Amino acid sequence: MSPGSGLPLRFVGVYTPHGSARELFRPGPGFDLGYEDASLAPFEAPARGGKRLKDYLLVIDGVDLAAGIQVGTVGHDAARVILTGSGADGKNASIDQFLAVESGLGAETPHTTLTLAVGSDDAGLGFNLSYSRGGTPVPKVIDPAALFDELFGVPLTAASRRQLAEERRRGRSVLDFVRADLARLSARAPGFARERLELHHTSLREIEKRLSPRSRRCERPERPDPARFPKLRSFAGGERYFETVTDSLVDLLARALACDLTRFSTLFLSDLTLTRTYPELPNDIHSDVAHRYRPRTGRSPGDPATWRPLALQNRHSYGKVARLMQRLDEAGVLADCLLYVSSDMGDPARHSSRNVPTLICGGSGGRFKLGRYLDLGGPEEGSELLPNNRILVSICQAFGVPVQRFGHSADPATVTGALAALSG
Amino acid sequence: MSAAFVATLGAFCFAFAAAGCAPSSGPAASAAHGEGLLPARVRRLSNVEYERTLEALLGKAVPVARALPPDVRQDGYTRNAAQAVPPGYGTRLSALVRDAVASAVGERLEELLPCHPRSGDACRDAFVADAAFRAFRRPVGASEKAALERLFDAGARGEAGFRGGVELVLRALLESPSLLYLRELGPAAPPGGVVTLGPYQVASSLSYFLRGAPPDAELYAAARRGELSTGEGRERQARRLLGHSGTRHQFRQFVMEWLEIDALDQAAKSETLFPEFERLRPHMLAETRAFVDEVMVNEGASLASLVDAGFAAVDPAMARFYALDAYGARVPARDRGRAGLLQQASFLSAHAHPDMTSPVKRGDFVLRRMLCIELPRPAELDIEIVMPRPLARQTARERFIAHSADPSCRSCHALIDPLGYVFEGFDAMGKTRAIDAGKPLRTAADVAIRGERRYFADSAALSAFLARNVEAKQCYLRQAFRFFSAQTDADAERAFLEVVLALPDERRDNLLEALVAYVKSDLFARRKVPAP
Repeated sequence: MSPGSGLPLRFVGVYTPHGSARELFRPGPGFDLGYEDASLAPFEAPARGGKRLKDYLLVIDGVDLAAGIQVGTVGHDAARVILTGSGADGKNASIDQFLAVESGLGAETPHTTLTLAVGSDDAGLGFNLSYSRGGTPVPKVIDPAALFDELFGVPLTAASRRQLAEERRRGRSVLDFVRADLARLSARAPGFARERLELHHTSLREIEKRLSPRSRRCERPERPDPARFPKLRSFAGGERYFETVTDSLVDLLARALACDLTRFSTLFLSDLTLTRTYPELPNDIHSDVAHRYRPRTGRSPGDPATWRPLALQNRHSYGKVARLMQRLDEAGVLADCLLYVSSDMGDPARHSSRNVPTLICGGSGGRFKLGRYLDLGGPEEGSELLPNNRILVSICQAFGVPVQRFGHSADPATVTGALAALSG
Repeated sequence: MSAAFVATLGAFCFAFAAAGCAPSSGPAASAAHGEGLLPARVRRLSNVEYERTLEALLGKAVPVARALPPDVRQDGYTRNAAQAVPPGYGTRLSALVRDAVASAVGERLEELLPCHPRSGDACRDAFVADAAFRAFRRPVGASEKAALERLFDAGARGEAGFRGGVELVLRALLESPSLLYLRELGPAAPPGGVVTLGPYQVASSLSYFLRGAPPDAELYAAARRGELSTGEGRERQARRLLGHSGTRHQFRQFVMEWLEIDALDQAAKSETLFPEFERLRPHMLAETRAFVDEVMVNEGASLASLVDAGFAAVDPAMARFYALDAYGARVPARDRGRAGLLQQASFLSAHAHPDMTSPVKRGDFVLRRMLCIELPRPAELDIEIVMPRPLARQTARERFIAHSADPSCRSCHALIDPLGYVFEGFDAMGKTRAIDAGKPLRTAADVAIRGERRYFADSAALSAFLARNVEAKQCYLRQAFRFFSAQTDADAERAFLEVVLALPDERRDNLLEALVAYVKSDLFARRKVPAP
């Protein structure tokens, strides 16, 4: 178990696309992740203090996005279930927003949360991890240069410092008026409209943070050069730049967490479709890799030829998670981070939201027993659902928020209880 | 016609049986108090509505819609009651407003004022009163006005002067919840009650309903005179607004979202297979916009004219692409297979893969958006989704027929795919083709629609069928109502269809007349109060 350093715990939720080739996701004997074609191989990389990244890793198999399965929010749409523990009918906040906004744990940092994505800022179900209470998706940043500007602003001269102070004064005057207008509107609004207006109040608090002078918390990194990613969106020519975009977002996120600019973040990764990153993979990863996966099941030996391409896609995603861990480790905060990494599907060819590949990464402040494989999986057919809500409850408890339930389901058992096995 | 319309109105919640593939049905209409009314609500303007509102206030278009975080969609439409201002939206909006106002005040201060700055406090007061009324779309209270005047003075401090005061007031107004949210609440009432909207809320509702933009001076004047409390008064204003060229935006937007082509300007095609696409894409979108304008202005925006007008509205680039001899707003194109919207390159490109056609996407579109038949998604049925692998010498149709032979897929795809095969005469960017994979194409298909078998020789035959089909006409009206009312509500949709049904035969197919009739009806100015 990695002891926490006493620093506040940080959370990152990461979406990885296309489920997993389960056969090559499972660790080998002795928690071996380095066997041929293993999708988790990037975590064999060294960490500080003679460790490896996998010493900060808990690999979990057998978790289901149960609350989504119960109401038909499955397949690509199930991305929303990962951090909300709710299907499309849920109105609760995702865990990052719950901890940072509703529980107030993000109040002290300049950015209450950061919501990042590669390739799509779409507000649809299948493209978002983070939701505010009421079920509104939290807008995402997909441009590394815009993220840099949000986090670090422009270097100040004496003249621009005065200008900035004046702009802050004017901004606060505007904010005061807007806040009073919202209060008037809220006071007159009936109950059914208030939740949405309350979200607007949250938004104004975020603007207020931007208008406050910041203490210098760490060195400014170099601003990502937008010329290196002239296009940003999927299916609009952005794919060839995704490698650069992803690495830039990951590096800036690590810096933001290390500098305590935020403590809560989510990152929605993209797949390798049209990126030409691996010449040996088909161009259309979605159709020609994920949909062609044939797993080994109790009834069928599956098709091993379909496992390797999917594992390579998975390894690419996990490589980005490993990169984030490395950056956090270099900054000395990996022990105080808790990354929850999962996918919308287990078997992507079935669009099944059972047995979703799940990782807990980072020292988690010493709350979970790391460096091991937790096999909770039953057979695909017939076994009871193991709701990922239990992981969400455990994470809340790790952050000192003593909830017993997380998410929304008609069945109270789905949303109730922690996953004790995480602690060993 | 009326009898058939009435009969199918009864089949609004049509139950459709096919093994494993039961389309969903809408909820039955409630007989409760307030039946057929839209809910009372507070809805945030969509990004496009916000952009038009900004334009009305600043007197100049500022392209902010695409710079804001994307709208949440409901049923594919951006105008809906689910929009909110989460963190991330608010911060972005605030930055965009700051820049837009700085630029407007810097470049065109005098155009923004109803007076000359030299008149000092009098001009300040006149500016604040005028701008606040237009921003809030209602008379402004004394305390609100006083707060804005204080804000003006704070902005005018020091070097900034009058200009600084104007800037700060405009920033505050353009970020204010009273501008961002359209309020359709009426007086306080308990859940389940029915309320009547006040004159200024009716004015805003009417203007955003028809135009997606704030009321103009004449509409405010009608509200002030109390004319919007009568159906005739609302009808007069609706007809006047429909005559404005600016109202066309709203109809274009509807068709773009209904056809799911509004994201086409961000889509990509294989550069190897479709090297022309990047160059032609803006021309494709311009064609659809021009076509909608033409059909709205001269054909009453009927479904028949949209899908089966028989002409194209093309510029020289699209005329060449379609092998037409002429360009212009009404170029006969039926003999080139271009009957209407469904044969336009924008639609055909949006409903295809980057490198090949997709009978599934095109067939699924026709069922969902033209006939309002919702099929379950494969994942809901726990079906393994096997994409047909492209094989040399195999047409798309052959490929998909093999895939649909799978027993678990067949029940749905037997309905979907044939509706897509009829479009196979067009490639993935909408170019006419006679061969696929070196083989002659077959576009004819037997199709089952609501249990009845139909034969279509090609997509033009499908369009001709849709143009006459009562269920397609109803579906079109329902889709339009979802967009214009910014609400998906089966009960209100049914009431809207009943209003249309009461129109004389010759006006029933005209969407403009349908919308005017709804505005005129008692339904428009009343709301039911939802449960908390």
